Amino acid sequence: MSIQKDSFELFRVLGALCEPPHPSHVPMASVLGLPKEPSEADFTELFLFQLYPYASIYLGPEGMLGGEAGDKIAGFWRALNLTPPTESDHLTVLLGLYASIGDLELAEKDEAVKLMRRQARHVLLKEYLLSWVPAYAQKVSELAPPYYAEWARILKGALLEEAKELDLSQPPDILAQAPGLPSATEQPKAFVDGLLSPLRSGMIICRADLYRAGKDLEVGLRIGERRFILQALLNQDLALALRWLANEADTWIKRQQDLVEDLGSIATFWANRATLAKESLTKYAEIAEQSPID
Amino acid sequence: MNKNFKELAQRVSALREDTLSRGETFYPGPSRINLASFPPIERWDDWVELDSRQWPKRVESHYMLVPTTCFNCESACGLLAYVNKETLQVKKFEGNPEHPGSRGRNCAKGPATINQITDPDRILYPLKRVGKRGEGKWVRTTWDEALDNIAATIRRTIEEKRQDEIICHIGRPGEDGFTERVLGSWGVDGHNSHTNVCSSGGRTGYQFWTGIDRPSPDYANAKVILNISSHLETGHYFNPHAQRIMDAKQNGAKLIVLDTRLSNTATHADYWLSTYPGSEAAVMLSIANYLIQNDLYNKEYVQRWWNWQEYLEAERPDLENTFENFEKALKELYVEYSFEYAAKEAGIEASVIAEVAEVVSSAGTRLSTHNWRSAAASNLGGWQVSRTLFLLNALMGAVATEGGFYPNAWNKFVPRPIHATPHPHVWNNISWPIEFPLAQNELSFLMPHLMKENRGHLEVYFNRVYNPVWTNPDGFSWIEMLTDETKVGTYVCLTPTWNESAFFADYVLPMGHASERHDTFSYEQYNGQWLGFRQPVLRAAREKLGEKITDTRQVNPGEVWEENEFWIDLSWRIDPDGSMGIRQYHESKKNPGTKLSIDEYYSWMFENSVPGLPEHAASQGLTPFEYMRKYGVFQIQAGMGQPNENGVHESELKDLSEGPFGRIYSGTPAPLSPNIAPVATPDPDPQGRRALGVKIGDSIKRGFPTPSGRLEFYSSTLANWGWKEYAIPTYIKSHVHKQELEQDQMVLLSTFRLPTQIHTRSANSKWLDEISHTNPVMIHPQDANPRGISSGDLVRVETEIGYYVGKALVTEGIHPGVAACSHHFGRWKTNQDEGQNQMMRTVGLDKQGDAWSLKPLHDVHAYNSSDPDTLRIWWNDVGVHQNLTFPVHPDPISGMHCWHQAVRVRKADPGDKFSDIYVDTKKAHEVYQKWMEKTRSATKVSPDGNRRPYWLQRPLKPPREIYALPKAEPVG
Repeated sequence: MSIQKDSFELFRVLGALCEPPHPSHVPMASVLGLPKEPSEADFTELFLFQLYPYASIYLGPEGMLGGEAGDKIAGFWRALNLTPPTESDHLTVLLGLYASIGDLELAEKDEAVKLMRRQARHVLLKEYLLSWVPAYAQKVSELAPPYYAEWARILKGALLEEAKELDLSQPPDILAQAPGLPSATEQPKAFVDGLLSPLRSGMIICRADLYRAGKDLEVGLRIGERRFILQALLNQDLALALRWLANEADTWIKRQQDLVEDLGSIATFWANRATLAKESLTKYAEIAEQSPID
Repeated sequence: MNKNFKELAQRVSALREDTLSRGETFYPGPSRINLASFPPIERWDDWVELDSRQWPKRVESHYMLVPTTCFNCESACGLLAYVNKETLQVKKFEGNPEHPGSRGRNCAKGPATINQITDPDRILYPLKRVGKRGEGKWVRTTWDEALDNIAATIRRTIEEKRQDEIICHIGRPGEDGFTERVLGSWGVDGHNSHTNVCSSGGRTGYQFWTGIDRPSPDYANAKVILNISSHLETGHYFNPHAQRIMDAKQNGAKLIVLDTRLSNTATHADYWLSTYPGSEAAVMLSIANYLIQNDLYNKEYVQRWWNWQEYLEAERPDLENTFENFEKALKELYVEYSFEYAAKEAGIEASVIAEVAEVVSSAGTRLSTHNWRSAAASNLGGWQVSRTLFLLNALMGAVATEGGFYPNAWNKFVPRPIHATPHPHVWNNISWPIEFPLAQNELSFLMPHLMKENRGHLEVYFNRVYNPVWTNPDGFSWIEMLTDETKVGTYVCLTPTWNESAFFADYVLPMGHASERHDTFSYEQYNGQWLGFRQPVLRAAREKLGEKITDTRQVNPGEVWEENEFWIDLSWRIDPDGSMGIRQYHESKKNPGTKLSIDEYYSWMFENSVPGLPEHAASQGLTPFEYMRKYGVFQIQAGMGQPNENGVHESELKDLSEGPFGRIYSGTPAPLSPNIAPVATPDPDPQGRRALGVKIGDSIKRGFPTPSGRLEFYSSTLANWGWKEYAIPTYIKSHVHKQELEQDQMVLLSTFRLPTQIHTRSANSKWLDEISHTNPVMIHPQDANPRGISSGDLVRVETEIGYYVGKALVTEGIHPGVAACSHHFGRWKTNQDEGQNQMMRTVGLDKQGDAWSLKPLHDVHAYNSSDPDTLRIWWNDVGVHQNLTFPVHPDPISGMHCWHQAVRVRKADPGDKFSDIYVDTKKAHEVYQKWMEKTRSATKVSPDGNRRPYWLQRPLKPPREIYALPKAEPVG
């Protein structure tokens, strides 16, 4: 069996492992050397409460499920003459699709068709996987229990290996066309919403981050959905909270700079987004410090 | 790749291969990668579910999951029976995810199999009539008594050379070809399918084009889907088609539906054309004309595969035989079929047809079309509907292409069985009357009228999973025939459940449902070939637990049997010592002189006749038979390519001759194919060489199984057998064409089905009955208002031979001038204590001379039984049995019963009761005679002294000499 065929199977397995824990995962996890198997609660905490494994959340300007990014991904399936599944942008599905296109490519005898399949696989890799998964996996590896942290490290590493096939001097279209953060002073509400949109802010801010912020800032934590929590933090001490967020942006800049060698324009894009976010946050914090809220 | 990742990837691949080689699932569970939420196959032997009735306690139930196949509609979707390991009872049925056709997705009828097998009213033991036929008096008898008695009668009949007095009338097909082979082994030409009340019209159109009589569209990959049909795609039938249409739609395919009624399929259409009944061929020809006049058709394909040269020679000797001249002639042929003409015939707007034509023209070779029953089964000349529909595929070159139309035999696999039985050396004149030399199938629905004319007598009449009194038109004439013991000697009804015909039988013999019998079959569902296995699931489960089961009755409820064992046993009793030459076809090969067991029968088939199965099974350490017991299905091939373009093996290219227009014949014997799916058999050359292929350019291609080897735009068969005017696809005006109707008449559309019932056999499925149990008469407001009819009113629907009383439903979902009333309902019984209680009302039958009436006596109501749910029956309206009031309308070419009726619909009389029926069977016979006048008897039109063109398909095919016309037309 070819190495490439093996690598496609690896992606399929990595996709299966971010499904709810199942007895069939045990041998898969074992060959990957993953530590103690997770509980269902671990899975729920990570994938349902903290870091949702859907591309549209990271590639859509709203930072939410579906929307234009979801439509684009479903359109990609249709362009391949495939029926988009119900959750066509779920990480499991995208990795499975990647592996399937790869299998077809390897099995194809007609060189022209083979080339078309390869091109389709490269588009999927660049536009809908490398564009967000390395950053996502990085965050998972920092946050998750050991099983999923290791899973994320393997996933990120395997994708960076695949990236070597591509020319990444230009960013993927889905990133190149993405809108940035609204003005903090002119549209403060949209600005705050935009901070929670990875595509606009260059940051992935999950619930655990906001809990940490509450602790770091020693302010009260109001539990709710992310926007509610963030707004509550800002309401209590705007300047301090903005400074904390700017610091987060700085962390993301460094994370992305570490990836520039492997991901080229993709990492640069995310780093630039985080840089702009940091600048806006810092500027906004300065304004807030000059006119504190009563 | 980095070494670490490389190693990881290799370990993952090795793990998967190892898992799959054990026959286990690698990606099971709620995965988004593979089929979700189905139990993985390695856990089928011990699947654990919590018992919902024990809630809130968590009590585990352990199940063995055993695959089988649905026995409701024909499409044979995979089922998975959940057999409780403690009680050895089936708990439920779900889809079989391993089935490549149904893919684990079933319609409502599949899971409702549990209702059928637990039906408190089902027949559990062999019954024998006491008293007069139809009197409703029965005694339980033994299988031995019944078999010995029936066998003795058959033996005597065969010995006295009265083979044509034995007929087996088939409803739901079981195993492909099994019953035909049994009859063949007896030397009896007694196969009598129901097809002429079902799909003959559609089949005929396809057969004349391709030599194969069923359509198999590759819906999933289509760009444009055009259906003249509703119930297949609605899910009454062929759910695997319905799900692939939805796949195609999600990929952006356009769906065009011609349906007079707003069917479920029509509601999903991009274009719904509510055409006037019978006008469909005119609409197809207008689309064809558009493609032709605007040069939008695939000229290369037409030139390569149509028999245009034959057409020019026969019809246009004035023109030099060139393709350019054919194109010119083609432009003239359909010029009268403008959009405006079609619109006038169909009662719809010309602009809509024009838009649809443009969509069709955009399909390229990804045009999927389908017609099965619907218009082809309802109109005089309905067979031209499928023929003109296929014309569009033939014009676009969308034949055996991805997303196009496949002839079904290329998507079907019928394995060669252990014994090759001969075809009978007799001709049955009741099934194949001489007036219908081109009939697609047996004229079974005419039997009462042919018998009335003393054209035959039946010593033994079987019907199996069929209910002619209810299903066929003119049921009272059937009752007259079945109750006349001078016409029918012994009537044996093989049925899983009570029905209107069984009440008139001498023996009622209980046969199993989907999970209680063996069969193999293969149906067109997608571009591929698969073989499905139906099995008695408790037999498979108990064998797995170590028991030895030798007879399916050991595991079935009561003494319910399966047909395969029944026929083998009966054949042995007909010929106990083998002297009649019958027994040899039902003997073991391993132990000659002993009875063939089911295990040996299927083991031989799976080992010897299913390519790839032995190897695949062996890779999992299983025998082929064990594999089929475990999975219930095997995919033989996916993606069939273009079989007509296949070359011919070198070994066959010997002793060749070339006929007109490149037809190639070979003197070599035909290689034995393991696949015996039925196709036509083109005639040999004058020296007896078999038709091998057709010359295309410089090479010999396999071609189509037609006389010319090509797609037959021009049918020399029709031209030579007395129907020259229909030698090419054209439009035949229906018997319900507007010009045929009186001012106050309407068309009654009676053939449509509902997705939640299947003929009359699902009437013992309580879940389905609760969903669908009645059949209102749909009528458009434009027709209802002048008649003073409102929804819920009782209406009389008057046919040529009588009337029925139905309930009106005023709706715009039907074409003006047309009334519609669905199939399935109006079930009845004459004795309150027998039959089925959930859907059969008790009625009184009365006969005064030729005048019959049916009056309701007791409605359906809740009742006490072994099933507590029968106390919860809330419905009492079970519809009206309209088919009783329909006379027979045999199409003179296809033999199809033309179902549409010219009727008058008016408010019911004050004394009328819902579901009242009145019929005059003398008038029914007069209508029969009127339609027989349309026929052209083989005695007058046969060009070669035969009764029928030999190349046409026939389920049992006597040798050529038996085809010779009798010296005088059989009468008396």
